[in-house]
Order: sequence, then C-alpha cells, then structure tokens
Amino acid sequence: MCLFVPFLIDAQSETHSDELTNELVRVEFDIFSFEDEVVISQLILKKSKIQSGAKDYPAALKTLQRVNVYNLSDSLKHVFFKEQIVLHYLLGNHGQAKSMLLEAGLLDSWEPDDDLRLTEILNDVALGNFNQAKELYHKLNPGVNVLEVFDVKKVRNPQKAFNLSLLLPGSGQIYAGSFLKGISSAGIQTLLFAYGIRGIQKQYYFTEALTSIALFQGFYFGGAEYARELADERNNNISRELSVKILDSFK
Amino acid sequence: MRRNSFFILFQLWSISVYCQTSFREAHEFLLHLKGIESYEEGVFSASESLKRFSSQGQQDTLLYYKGLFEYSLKQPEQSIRSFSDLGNSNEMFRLHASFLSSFQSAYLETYIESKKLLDEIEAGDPFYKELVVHEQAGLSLLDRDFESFEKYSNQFSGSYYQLSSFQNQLIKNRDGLLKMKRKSPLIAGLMSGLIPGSGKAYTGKAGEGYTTLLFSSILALQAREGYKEDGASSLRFKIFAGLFSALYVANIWGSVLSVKVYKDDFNATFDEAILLNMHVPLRTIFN
Repeated sequence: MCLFVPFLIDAQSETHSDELTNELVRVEFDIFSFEDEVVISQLILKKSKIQSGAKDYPAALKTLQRVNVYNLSDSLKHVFFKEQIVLHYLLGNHGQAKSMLLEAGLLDSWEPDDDLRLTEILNDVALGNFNQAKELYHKLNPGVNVLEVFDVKKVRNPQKAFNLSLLLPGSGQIYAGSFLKGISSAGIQTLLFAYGIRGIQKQYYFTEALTSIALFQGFYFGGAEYARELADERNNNISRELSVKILDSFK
Repeated sequence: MRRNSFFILFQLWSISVYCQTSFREAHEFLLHLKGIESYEEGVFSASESLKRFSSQGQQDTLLYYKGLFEYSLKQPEQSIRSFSDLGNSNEMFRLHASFLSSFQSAYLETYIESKKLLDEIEAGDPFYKELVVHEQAGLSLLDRDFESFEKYSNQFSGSYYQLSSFQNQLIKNRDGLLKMKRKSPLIAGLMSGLIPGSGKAYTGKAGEGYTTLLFSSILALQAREGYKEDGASSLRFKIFAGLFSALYVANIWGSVLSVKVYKDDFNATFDEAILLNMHVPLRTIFN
C-alpha cells in the first residue's frame, strides 16, 4: 500500500510537517523524473508555492533560484521574476526586490500585473521612497485621492536627529517627534551641568564635579544615540501605517 | 466536482508512481536530493524507502544516506543512530559512516564512544589507516591526553597532502595547549585585593583591569573627599565609601571567577580548532 498517506500517521503534532514534507518530496520526485525543462520549471514553481503557503519563504526562494530564468520562455520568465520579487519583499530584502524590479523592467514584453505593482509600491514605501510610491499608486489607483492615502507624518533623518542632539541636547528627540523625551533629556543634562558647576564652586571636585561630568557625558552621547533610534522607529511606524492604508484602499 | 475528481485522481497517480519506484530510482533520487541540498526531504525519503526495500544492501545504502542527510542537518544523535544500524554490505559506506560517527561523537564530547568507533575501523588502505591515526590524534587532544597524542603524532607520515597541513595544525594545537598558563584563583583574588583590577589583568583581561582600577580610584578619591570635607558621619562619605567597598569586594570575587572563565575560553577556543582540523579532512576526502 502507499507510503505517503498522511492519515495513516498517528502523531497529530507531526502530521502537518510530515504532510508538507511528503508533498514536497512528491513534487521533487516529479522534478527528478521529468526531463523537459518547461515541465521542470513549472514543477519548481509549484514546489516554491507550496513552501510559500507554509510561510517558508527562504526555502521557497531557494527553490526558485534553482532555475536559470534566462533559459525560459518570456511568459515563464515573467512568472519567475514576479514570484522572486514578492518573496524578496516578504523576506524584507527590499533592496533586492527593487533591483529585481528594475531588472524585470528590461525584459521583453514585461507587463507587471496589479499584484506586482502593489508589491512595488509597498516595497518603495519600505525603502522610504514615498514619492516614487505615490506616483505608482496614482497610476494603479487613479480613482482614489493619492494625497489622502499618503497623508502621513513626515519621516525624519536619523543622522540629523543624532547631530541635533549633539548640538543642543534634547533637540534631536524633539525633531524625531518626542517632545517630552526631548525636554526631559535637556532638563536632566542642564541639571547635571549646573550640579557640576556647583561642585567646582564649592570645591567638591570628586564627589560632585566629577560625578556630574561622568553622568552628563553618559546622557549627552546616550541621548544623541536615542534620538537616532527614535527617528528610526518613527520612520518604521510611518512605513507600516502607510502600507496598511495602501492595502486598505484596495479593499 | 469534475475538476476535484480529476485533481484527486492525479494526486493518486502521482503517489502511486512514487510508490512504485525501483531501488535504483530511489537511490538516484536520494543522490538528486543530496545534490540540491534538500536534506530534510532526503531524511524523509530515505526513511520511507527503508520500509519498502528490505535486502541488506538496499537497507545499508538507505541508512547511509539517511545518516548523511541527518549529519548535514546537524542532527548528530540521529545521524549516529542511523549509521550504527549500517551493515557491512558496502565497505566504503561503512568506512565513511564510521569516520562521521566518530567525529560526531567527538563533537558531542562522548570521547570514549568516538575512540571505540575509530578503533573498530578496519582500514586496509594505508591512506585510511593514516586518517584513523589523524582522527585518533585529534581525539587525544580533545581529551587532553598528550601522551596518546605523542604516540599518534609520531605515526604521521606527512606523505598525504590531504592530511599533512591539518596534522601540522594539530601539533600546533598541542603546543598551544601546553603553553596555557596555569592561573590560580587565590592569586587573582589576592592581587585584586592589593591593587583593584590587577587580578583581572593577571587572567589576561588587561582592559577590564585598567577600567576597574580607574573606577576604584575615582570612588576612593570621592570617599576621601567626603571624609575630608564633611567627616566620617556625613552622608557624602557614607555613600561613596559604600560604593567603593561594594566595587572593591565585587572586583575580588570577579577576579576569582575570571580564572574559571579564562580556562573555559581557552579550552573552548582550542576544542573548536581541533574539531575543525579533524572535520575538514573528512569533508574533503569523502566529498
């Protein structure tokens, strides 16, 4: 009797993974058995989709990369490009997805479908290329008010936030959108500075002046680094919020 | 409905085709899976084929590949188990499996088991005999049995290019291990008691030692200032003297512990290097 009948396996917890491996092995066996390159490519595509369905995106991408796309027909080549772009996006390889999109644009009769255009928009958003994303969005969804969808907070330059905090403590956090944190940081650093001056005046060089200098430098550099992190976090939140809005606008 | 029936029929056809494969096809399929590095599928496929093909030769081939896939998946316990069931129908499979099992046992720090597996290898070829000696020498070093290492390293012929550089490396590993300076936790503690941080420097962590000395000195100066300006009963003196005392005691304790950390780090670094010098020749030769 057959070896690969999932319901014959008792262990419930292992059923899913065994079922999946069973399916993958069967498809791989077909790949191994056939000689026709087109059939093999289609089976590889099928295997990759099974892996994607199981959310094993790295394996799905690795499977697709077994095929030399430039040996394929245009239509199949397009499908492989599309799948790889989507997988790169899902894996967070936004730069790789972008470069594949550019490469795909050079292919003969390349015509991305709506799903791929949407992936491109979301990928641009993830990369912070909001203007490019806006243009693409307008082309894909001309009936919707682009300004309304893209009405999100301004992104902040993390390096600028860091530099501002070095220039004027607390200002980087305020620039990154955290007013209270900025004021607190500035307040603490001012107090430490004042305490240091007081220590020098009262000749408590070690217990007051040195202590406050040590703490001040910790807050000064730590605050600048924190401002950079805040700007990064703000930008990530904006990207996420915008991606959700874009996806919602297509529902 | 018709589409669903067709799909089910196709699935059943596909399953039955797989189930009817000959042993040769099953074997070639395992080689194919090895080639594309689909190790998980390889383990699954070999396990299923083991239920279908029952002759000793077929079982040995399938167990060998199963063990090999598990080894590639970094599942040493399972791999050793698969290899241990292997019969003697294929000398090369048996030889490779024994070397890999021995290496994996060494990796799992079960040195007695690893040595036993090496001793059981009956290699007729002088090259494999020297490979056994090479692995035994590595194992002796892992076990810090320098006498045995001398015995095995004296048998290094240096005439096999696949082994000679790794044999030299093992000798260097031995020299490095012998150079390990013996550190005493008592001395480290006493040194840190005398000069804060010097115990850490004694265990090779000079940077940590200097930092500790700097912080201890600052806290000592702060406590002195508190005492001089405000007296022994002042809060200022109590706070800084307390902080200094805490750092002073913690540093002595830290120095004592750092001797153990030093030994562990030293041993781990050498163990890693020795395992590498045992592993690379196996991979090169059998691949």
